[in-house]
Amino acid sequence: MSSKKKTILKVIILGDSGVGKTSLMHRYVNDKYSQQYKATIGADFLTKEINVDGDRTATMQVWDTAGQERFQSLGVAFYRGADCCVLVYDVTNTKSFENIKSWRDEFLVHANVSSPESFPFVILGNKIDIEETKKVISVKSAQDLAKSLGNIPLFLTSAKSSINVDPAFEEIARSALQQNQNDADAFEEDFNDAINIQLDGEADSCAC
Amino acid sequence: MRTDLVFCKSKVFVHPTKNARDNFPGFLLITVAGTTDPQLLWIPESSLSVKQLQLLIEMDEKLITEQKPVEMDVSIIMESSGAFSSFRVSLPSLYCIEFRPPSPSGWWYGSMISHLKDTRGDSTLPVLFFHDDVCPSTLKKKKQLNKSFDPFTSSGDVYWGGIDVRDTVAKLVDLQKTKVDQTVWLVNPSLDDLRNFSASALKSTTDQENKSTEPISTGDDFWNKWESAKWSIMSHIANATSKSSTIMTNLIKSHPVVQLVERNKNSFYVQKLLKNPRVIEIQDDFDSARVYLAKWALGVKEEADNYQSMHRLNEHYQRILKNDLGFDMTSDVSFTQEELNKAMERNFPLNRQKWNSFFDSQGRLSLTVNEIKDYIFHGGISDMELRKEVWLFLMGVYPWDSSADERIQIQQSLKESYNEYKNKWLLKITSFDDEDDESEQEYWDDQIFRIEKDVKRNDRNLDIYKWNTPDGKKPEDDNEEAGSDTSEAEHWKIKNPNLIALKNILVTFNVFNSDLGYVQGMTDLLSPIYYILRDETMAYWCFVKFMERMERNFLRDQSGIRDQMLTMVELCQLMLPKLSEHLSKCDSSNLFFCFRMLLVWFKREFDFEDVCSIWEIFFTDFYSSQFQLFFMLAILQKNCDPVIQNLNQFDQVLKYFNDMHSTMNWKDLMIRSELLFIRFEKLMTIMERKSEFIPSHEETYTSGANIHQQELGDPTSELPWKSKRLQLLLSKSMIIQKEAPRTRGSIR
Repeated sequence: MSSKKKTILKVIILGDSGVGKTSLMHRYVNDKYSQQYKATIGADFLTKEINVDGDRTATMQVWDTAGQERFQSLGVAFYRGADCCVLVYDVTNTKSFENIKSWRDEFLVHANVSSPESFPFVILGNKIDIEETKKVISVKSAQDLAKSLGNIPLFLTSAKSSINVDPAFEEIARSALQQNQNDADAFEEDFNDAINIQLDGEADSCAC
Repeated sequence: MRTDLVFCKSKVFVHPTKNARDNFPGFLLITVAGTTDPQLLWIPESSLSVKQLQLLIEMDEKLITEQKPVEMDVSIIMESSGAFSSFRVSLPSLYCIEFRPPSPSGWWYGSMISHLKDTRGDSTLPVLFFHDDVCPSTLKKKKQLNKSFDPFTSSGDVYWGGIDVRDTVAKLVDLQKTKVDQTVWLVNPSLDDLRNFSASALKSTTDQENKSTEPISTGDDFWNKWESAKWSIMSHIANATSKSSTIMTNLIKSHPVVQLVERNKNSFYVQKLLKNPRVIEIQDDFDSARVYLAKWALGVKEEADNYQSMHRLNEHYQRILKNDLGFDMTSDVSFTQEELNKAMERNFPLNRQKWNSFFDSQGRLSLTVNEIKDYIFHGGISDMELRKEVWLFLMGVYPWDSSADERIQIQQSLKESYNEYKNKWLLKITSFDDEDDESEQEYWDDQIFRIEKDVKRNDRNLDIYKWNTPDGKKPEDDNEEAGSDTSEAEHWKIKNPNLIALKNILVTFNVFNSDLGYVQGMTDLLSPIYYILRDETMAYWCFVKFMERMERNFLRDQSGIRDQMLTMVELCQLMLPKLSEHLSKCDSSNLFFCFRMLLVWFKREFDFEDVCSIWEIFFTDFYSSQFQLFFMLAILQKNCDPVIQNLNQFDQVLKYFNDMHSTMNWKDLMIRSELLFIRFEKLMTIMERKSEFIPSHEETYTSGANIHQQELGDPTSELPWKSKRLQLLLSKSMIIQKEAPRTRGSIR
């Protein structure tokens, strides 16, 4: 089976421009933060070796994308083969939160995934280091949204202060691995039975 | 004695002046009589009687087809010798003959220059031009060659009139091609001659050169030699100034190099070098002796064939061509020596002194626009201070023909006009309809929000953007929060005056071109312009001009950038077929990895100063208004081998090209770009020429229909010269694509 071959988990990060997609990626992969990241043009990715199930390792490929709406038509080129999609908003920016649903829909349209209803997403509310008065999205409304989109796991993070980034990406890795496994199984054995999979890290909300 | 005519070519012209009206045609003949040496003659048409003319016209075609000598009436020669410009020399009395092929585009005719062994007399032979387009025998032979779909002769050269002369001369005397200059053929060369002109003696130095990691610097040696020799001549002149002017003139005139130049002043090289910016600079240095110095300097090229350094230069470019461009001497398209020389002329940037010398007393440019663009294309601009002025011309803010006074007026009116636009948003004078008011307001707030966000994270490593202080300087108290260390990452207020100017310009541009709106990447384009100009108003108008060209990169439907990427795909298929094939195996045939480089013109791949150097070359539109695509091609070409050998997946290819920052030498790439363009242009011309003889039944062919065409197995279907996209690459006029009017639902 595919476990003998090195597993590559492909993760796509989407969200409005300036919500911190690049920063989250760098924090997770390199444990670094800089305010000097320029606006992303096109697409880029970083890879990280991760342990899964104790002794097995996999390569996580984290894809960072441009946030501006009009560049999304190019997404088709790299959405394909994704194992998990991360939707990011900025807790101090209402619009970025309101757009989460359309980012999800956009992804499903272009990625051409085998079973859209079970494809794993994770939502990250970024920049929680910023002072309370500037925050405009409550934890409650975030949880409501996550639930309404099909019990998507939600994490409130800060790439800058390194809050909750690792737990979020552990969840992302789990979901991605699961999805990767499902696809491989579906590919290799033609199950007639409908596969009914429960996502293990299901909606246990944020740790903050 | 019986005289045989072995060769006759009609419509061989002498061009006594630059004016085409003064050209006059004649016949080039080669005769053999008994055991005497074969003779080369040129006779003007005007000296011939109607009967003689008819006879020679007949001979022109007959000799080409039959290839047999014809006994001829010696009276023609006798009567016309002595006619203006006619000449007659024995072939063995020639030292060498240069056969310069015509330009592929037909801009200049092929020509032949004969150099006598004896250079004592003043008997320089005129340069003969082969007007192939009106010569019956050449046209006939061309047609024959084209029938077999092969415009090349057996020697592999593209056929033209001079080839016939060369082939005939080669049968009569020992004619040897020199290795250092493929257009020069030695007549009955001695061993010494061959040695002097052979490149093999340089092998050891060349091999060392190959190991060098900095191939571009090889030109220095040549210029160093030039510099030192220049001073030696100058000291002679200085010694002589105390003596009478006749002595001085004689002294200079007796210098062997000066003599050599004098003799060759009609040579292509000499004229070519006259235009070299470095030569002109040297001339300017030395007023009194400039004429001789210049002539001398030009002659160095002739002499330089004996200099190893010069050979190394040629070798270097030939190496690029051979190894990297995958081109060898036996293949269809070859770079001529002239083209290589042209590429080598880079390295002499426009400096302040030079720039000032371009203007007359009114402050009006006294050179043609093309001359200035040639300077900038081949040498760039020496420093940021000078860019401040030149860029305003290059961008079209100042008309090329404006006077200093006019520019002051332009500046004034631009200032007023800018403030008008700026006040529209600054004072919130907006003309929104009532019902749209709210959504429009929301739209503008969003635009400003996104502009601020990008301004705050753009080029903050540069000194003027670095510190968020009211004067833009590093705060004296280091503990003070100053932009780069502020804790409220996303919510700090912009205080740095230069960042404020960037924001003002981008928001004002949004008022000016409200259909387009703010698109990410625009800040990257503005930042160098403002950095150079340091003036909000002028930077704004420069940016407006720049955006005329760049708007196509930012359209909502991405059609403009898509066009460029598709052009790139076709260009890559044509020029780098191997790489192209490999990329399609890697799911990368769409060249998505070029997107960022094309969108913001390599801004993210090079250091800031390099970006300025690259852009100003693009601004000139010297060869093509889309020269960025040739630069992109050069990057691909340079990375061909590592990509083909090591990468086999889409993500690997993207990663490879995304991570190129500070790894590339832009000068090397620019030379490649130029050579690639020249090669491309040549290919297009040759293909077009070839295709004239292929019946085409798909006149409406466009590149998009490529696959469909291939299925039909039609040999003409893949001819890239018919691609609209590729044809457009040969155009110098800017391609403008405007955004469609914005509506409420338009994507941002």
